[in-house]
Amino acid sequence: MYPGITKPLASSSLYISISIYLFLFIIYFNQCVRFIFKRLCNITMLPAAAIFHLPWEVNCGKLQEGESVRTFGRLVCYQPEESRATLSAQHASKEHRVVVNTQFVEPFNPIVGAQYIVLGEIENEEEAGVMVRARVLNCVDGVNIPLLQKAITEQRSFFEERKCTQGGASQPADAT
Amino acid sequence: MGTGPGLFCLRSAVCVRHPGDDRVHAGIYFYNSHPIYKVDVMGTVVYKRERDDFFVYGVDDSTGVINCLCWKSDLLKKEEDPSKSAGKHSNGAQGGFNLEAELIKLRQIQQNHCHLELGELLRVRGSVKTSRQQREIMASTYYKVNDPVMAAQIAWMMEVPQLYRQCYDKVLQPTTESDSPVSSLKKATDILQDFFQQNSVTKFRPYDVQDLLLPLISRQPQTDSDEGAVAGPSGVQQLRQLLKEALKVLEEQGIVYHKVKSQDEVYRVTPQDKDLFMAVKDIIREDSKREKYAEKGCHVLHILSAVRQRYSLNVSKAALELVLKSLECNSDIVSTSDNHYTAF
Repeated sequence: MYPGITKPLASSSLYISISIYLFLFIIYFNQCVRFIFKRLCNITMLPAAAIFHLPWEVNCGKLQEGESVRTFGRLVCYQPEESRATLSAQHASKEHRVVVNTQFVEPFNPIVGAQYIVLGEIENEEEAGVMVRARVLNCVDGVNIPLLQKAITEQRSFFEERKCTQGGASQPADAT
Repeated sequence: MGTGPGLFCLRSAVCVRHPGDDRVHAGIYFYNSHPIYKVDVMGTVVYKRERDDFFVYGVDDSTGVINCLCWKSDLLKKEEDPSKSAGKHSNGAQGGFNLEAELIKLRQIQQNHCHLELGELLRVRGSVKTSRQQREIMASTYYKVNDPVMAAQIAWMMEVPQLYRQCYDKVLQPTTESDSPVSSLKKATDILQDFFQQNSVTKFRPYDVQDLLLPLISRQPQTDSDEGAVAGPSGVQQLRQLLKEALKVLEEQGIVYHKVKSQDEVYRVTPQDKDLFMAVKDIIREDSKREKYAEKGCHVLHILSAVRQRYSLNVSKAALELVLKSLECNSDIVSTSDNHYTAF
């Protein structure tokens, strides 16, 4: 009887049902994405193992960008406004400096002259050169540096030995 | 040896081979040929995730990084407000030693040992598991290590390669074939016991059974290569020594005994000695009729002294216990209570 009225009603209900379905779909999709993202994050969230390097090895440029390293040195200066700390170590009567980006480990109590251990990733910057973006910066003042060096070289020679004896038949490293 | 905890560097913990990685096994891992049950790692916390029931700490010891699942103990789960509870309990305090306050302090210390932040040193011991394609350590024990001058870490870095060189990187030797003195003694006693059983030997002289142990002696010179050739007499001496020790062990266990101690070393084999069995049975039967022992039964020591009086002075308690057990199995006697026996 009033054909003009029924038509818009029909289309509006269709419109409503479509929008409801779309809304539900968006929520479901969102959940799926979150779920996948969570899973991915869980799997990939562990950082790489930070291998011990001696301070003079860090600066020589042999290390790749993004590589996780661990090194040590005496804190010589700290610039909080630039989040930059400088560690120094003596080797073969030369002083070697390692620049550390302390953005992630602030605030920390800087004790100038104390020995520190830094764990972080290598970053190559234009002005500063090689920098270590610290994830961990621990004061270890009182550490026996020669003994620590000995331990590092001992560990290294052990792994070299193993590599030689095993040849190419290394064991499979699963996941990380 | 394979079931004990192993000091592991993480590189190996991450690399342990799982037999048939595509199949699910109940937690069996191997490093070279060593079966792994538990691992022990120490490293810096580089990742932390906290849930109601557990922590997941990512541990990095510079050779590798692995997640450690650390369950919270019940003490840590209940996060009481210390000020509130201190206020509640100090009213009833008797001055001096306040137990409640001390308990709260203890709980706080325990929490400190288990709550770690990034950069702190963690020691974890636990079994290796695979979860979501990743190796993980399910911690049975974990605690924060206070290491202000890196002494613990340095010691660990020096110790672990030694351990690997001496033990883990060597192929596992199953211990069944070893010729150590302890195991050859055990083999000797086993050989003798088998012989007695198979041939129903009642009594023997050491000389009669000496030759049974020859195979054990002839095997030994092969391992002692640095001592040179084993001459004849010393081989015989070794044999006599081994026999003497084996008979001593068997005597202590009660399997053999001297009925009469004389120059002539005649041993009697307890499980085969019918006379001894009869004597013990008679003693128990007669004494059980007496009023004194009718209800409770005869105590082992009473039976022992009776046997020593009537049968032989040299019967040991161990030998008697063997006899009593065997009589009980044959339903000749009954034990009324612990160490008491009566006739059936």
